[in-house]
Amino acid sequence: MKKKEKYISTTQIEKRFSLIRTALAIVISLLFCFLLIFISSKQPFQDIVTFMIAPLTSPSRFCLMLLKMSPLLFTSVAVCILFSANTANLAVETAFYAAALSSSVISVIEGFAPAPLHFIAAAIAGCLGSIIVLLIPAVLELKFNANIVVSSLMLNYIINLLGNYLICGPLKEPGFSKEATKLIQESAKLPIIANVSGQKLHLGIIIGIICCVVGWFIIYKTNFGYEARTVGQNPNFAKFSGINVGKVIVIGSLIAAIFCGIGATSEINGYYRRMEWEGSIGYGWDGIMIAILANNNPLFCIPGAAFLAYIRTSADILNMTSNIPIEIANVVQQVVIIMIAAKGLLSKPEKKAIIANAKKQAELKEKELAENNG
Amino acid sequence: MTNEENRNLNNDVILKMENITKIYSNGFIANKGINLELRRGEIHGLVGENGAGKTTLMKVLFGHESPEEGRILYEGKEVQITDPTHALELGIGMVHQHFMLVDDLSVAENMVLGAEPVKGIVFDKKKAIELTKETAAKFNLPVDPNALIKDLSVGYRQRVEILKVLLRGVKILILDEPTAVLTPQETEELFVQLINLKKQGFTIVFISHKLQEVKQICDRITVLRLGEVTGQANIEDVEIEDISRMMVGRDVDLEIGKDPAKPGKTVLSVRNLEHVDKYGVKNLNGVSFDVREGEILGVAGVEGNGQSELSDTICGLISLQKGEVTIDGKSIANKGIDKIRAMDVSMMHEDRTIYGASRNQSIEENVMADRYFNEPYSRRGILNHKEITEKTKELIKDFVVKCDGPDALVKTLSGGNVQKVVAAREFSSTPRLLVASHPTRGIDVGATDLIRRKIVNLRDKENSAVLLFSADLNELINVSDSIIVMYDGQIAAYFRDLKGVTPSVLGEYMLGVKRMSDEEIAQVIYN
Repeated sequence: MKKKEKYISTTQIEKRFSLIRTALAIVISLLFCFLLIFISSKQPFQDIVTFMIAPLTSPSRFCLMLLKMSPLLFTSVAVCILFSANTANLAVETAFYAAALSSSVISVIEGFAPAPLHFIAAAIAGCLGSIIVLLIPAVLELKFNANIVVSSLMLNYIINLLGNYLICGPLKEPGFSKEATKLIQESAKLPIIANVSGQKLHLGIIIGIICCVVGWFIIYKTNFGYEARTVGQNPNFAKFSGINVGKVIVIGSLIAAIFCGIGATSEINGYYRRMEWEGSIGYGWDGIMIAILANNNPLFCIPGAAFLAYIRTSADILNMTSNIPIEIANVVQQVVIIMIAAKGLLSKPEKKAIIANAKKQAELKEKELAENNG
Repeated sequence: MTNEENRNLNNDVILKMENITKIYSNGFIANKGINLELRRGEIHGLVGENGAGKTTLMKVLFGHESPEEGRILYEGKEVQITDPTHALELGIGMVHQHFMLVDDLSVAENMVLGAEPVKGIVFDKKKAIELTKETAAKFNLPVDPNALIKDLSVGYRQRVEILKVLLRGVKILILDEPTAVLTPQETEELFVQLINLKKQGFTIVFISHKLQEVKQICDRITVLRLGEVTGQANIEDVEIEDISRMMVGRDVDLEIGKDPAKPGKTVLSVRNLEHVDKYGVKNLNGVSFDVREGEILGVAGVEGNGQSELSDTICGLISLQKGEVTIDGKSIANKGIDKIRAMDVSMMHEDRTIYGASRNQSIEENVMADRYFNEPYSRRGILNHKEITEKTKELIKDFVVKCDGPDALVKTLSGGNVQKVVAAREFSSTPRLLVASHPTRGIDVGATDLIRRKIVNLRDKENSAVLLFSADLNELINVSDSIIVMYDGQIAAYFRDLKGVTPSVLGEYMLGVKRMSDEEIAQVIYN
C-alpha cells in the first residue's frame, strides 16, 4: 500500500479560496461600513456595536429579521434556477411584483374558498403573473434572438408602470385613503407562527426554506437540473449531447416563476393587510445578490438571505437609535457585490498556493517512485 | 563554472535556456528544469508528444509566459524577456500553430501589423507593399502583397507568417508545429524554404511530433516528455526509433493490426448533399456515399473542403439543406441532435473543447450527457447518482482515463484524457454509426493508440459503421478500410482498397491536382 500523504487537488484549493474570498468580501464591506459610521456618528463605538448585534438583542428584533429574510429566500432560489442555466433573466424583480398583484386579485375576494384553499388559489394566480413576466424575455431570446438582459431590464419598467396603474386604478379600493387593494381575506392569510411583542412572524419563512431545499433538489438531483447546469456551463456541449437548450430555458423560467409566485403571495398574505406596492421593491435585485453570494446553490441562499436581513435589521434599529441613516445597509450590500465581482481578489496568493502545492505533489510523486524502485 | 562560461563565450551558441520551470495557475507543471541550447545557423528540433511542454517552453522564450525558475542567456548575456514585443526586439520570432493573421487585410497590411510604416499620421500603404516585396525577394519567398489573406491557401498563409517575423529582423525563428496543417506537398515546399533560411544563418526551432519530418530536416534535437528533457542529440546519431523511445518512454508501434472489414448492410447513406453557408459559399456540392456496418470509411481532405459541413450535417448541428441523409433507411431531415442520437448515432466533434466536453463539469457529468435520461441512470426525472458513479468508474477504467476520480473536473485533465472521456461516452452506447471528426488531433501517443484501437473495436465487436474524418493521413490509412477524398465540396476520389495508398497519393487528390472519374467515385454507393 502507498503511504497516505495528505493530498490536495487544485480544485480543492480553488474552492477554499472562493470561500475565503466571500468571507473577505463581507469583512471588508463591514469594515468600510464601520468607517462610515465612525465618520458620521456622534457615538461611533456604541453605534458599531448596535450595528453588529442589534438583531440579537431582543426576540422581537430577531423576529423582524426573520420577516425581512422571508421574501429574499424566494427570489434568491428563483435566481439560482435561472443562473444555473446561465439565463440572465433580470425580470425576476418585477415577476415578484406581478405575482403580488395577480395573487391579490384572488386574495381579496370574500368567501372565495376555505382557509388553506384560498391561499393556494391566490398563490396559483400569483404564479400566473410571474410566469408571464419571466417567460416574455425568455421567449423573445429564443424566438427572436433578443438579448435577454436588455429585454428583461426593459420589461421591468413596463411591469412597474403597469402595476402602478393597476394599484392606483382597477385594483384600488374605492374610497380608501391610500393606493391599495381591498383587505386581504382572513381565509387567504398565512398562519402566524409566532407573535413576539407585535412582530407577527408568519409561515412564509418556513415555506421559503422549503423552497430553497426544493430548489437545491431540482438543481442537483433531477434530470432537469443536470440539463440546466450543463446548458449553463457549456451550451454548445449541451446541444451537441442532444439536450434541448430552448426547452431547458423555458422550464427554468417556469420553475423560477413558480418560486416568485409562491413567495410574493406568502409575503403579501403573511405580512400585509392589503396589497399596497406601487412598484417593485427590490427583492429581485436582492435575490440576484444572494444567489451570487451563494454561488447558485439554493442551500447557501438561506445563510445569504439571513446575512442581508441581518444588516437590514441592524440598519433599521440604528436608524432609530442614532443619526445613522438606513441606507448604511445598502452600502454594505453594494460593497459586498463589488468585492464578489472582483474575481482577481486574492488571485496572487491563490496562484502561489496552487504552484506550491503542485511542486509538493511532484516531489511526493518522485519520492514515491524512488521508494518503489528502492 | 569556468567551463560553462567558456561555452557561453563560444560564438556558436546563440541562446541558452537554463533550468526553466513553468507552473501554470491551475497547478500543472508544464516545464520542469529544462535546459536548451540553440546554435547559430541550425535547425533545432524540439520534439515531444502533445502536452510534453514544447509550446510552453517556446512561449517562455517568446515572452508569452514568465517562468517560475530558470534563466535565459541570449548571445551570452542574461535576458529577462517580458513580452513578445521585447522578444522581437531581441531577435526572437515565433510563428504560432494557429495563424495570427487578419483575414480581411492584404498580405502587405498583415506583414507590417504591429510596426506599421506611417507618413505623418497616416498608414503608408505604399511603403508596406515595398517592404513586403523587398523582404520576399531577400528571402526568396514570393508573395503577392495585395492578395487578401482569406483568399490564400494554408501553405501560403504560413509563408506570410514567416515573412512577417523575418521582416522584424529576427535571428531565431520558432515554428510551432508548422506542418500540422499542411499537405505533404506543401510540407516539402516549406522544408526547401527552411533550409534556405538556415543557409542564410538563421536559427530555426522546429517544434514537432512527426519524427519523419524531424529526422529529415533538423540538425540537432531536444526531446521533451512530461515537461522534462529526456534526450539531446545530433540527428545523425539517432534513429527514428530512438527518438520515439525518448519521446514516449517505451517502444511504440502505432500500426494497429486489424483484420479486413466484413461490411454488411448500409447504415449511413448520403445522396447529393449540398450546403451553402451564410456567406453564399457552396461548401458541399453533390456529395453521395454509403457507409456499411462493420466498415470504417475515412474522409481525407485539406481543411475547408466541406468535411466540417458534412459531419455537422450528419450530426444535425447544421440543418440539412439539399439532398438526402438516411441512417438505417430513415431520413434525418428536420431532426434535431437528440432525435439523431436516438437513432444510435455517436458523434465526436472536431472541436472537443466546445462541443465534446464541458470543462467546468465533472467527468461523471460529461460521460452521462447522452444517457442521463435512461434507466438506470435516472427514474422519473430524478438522477440516480450511485448508478452514474458506478458506470463512470467502469468507463474510466476501460478507457484508462488518468484522473482523481469520477468527480474530477474535466478542466483538470490533459488533452488526451479529455478526449478519452469523450470517447468513453460516445463509444459505450453501442452505436450503429459513429461520426468521428479528428478523434486524435493534438493528443498524446498513448491516448491516440487507445482511441484508434477502440474505433476498430467498435467495428469488430458492435458491427458499427464508422465515418472517420482526420487530417492525419497516416491515421486514415491505418485505421480506415476505405477512404474518400474531399476537394472543393465534392468527392474527388474513392479508394476501396488501401493497398499501396500513401499520404502523397492522397495529397494529390486533396490538392485537386488529380481527380478520379465519376464512375470510380460512384463505387462508394452500394445500393
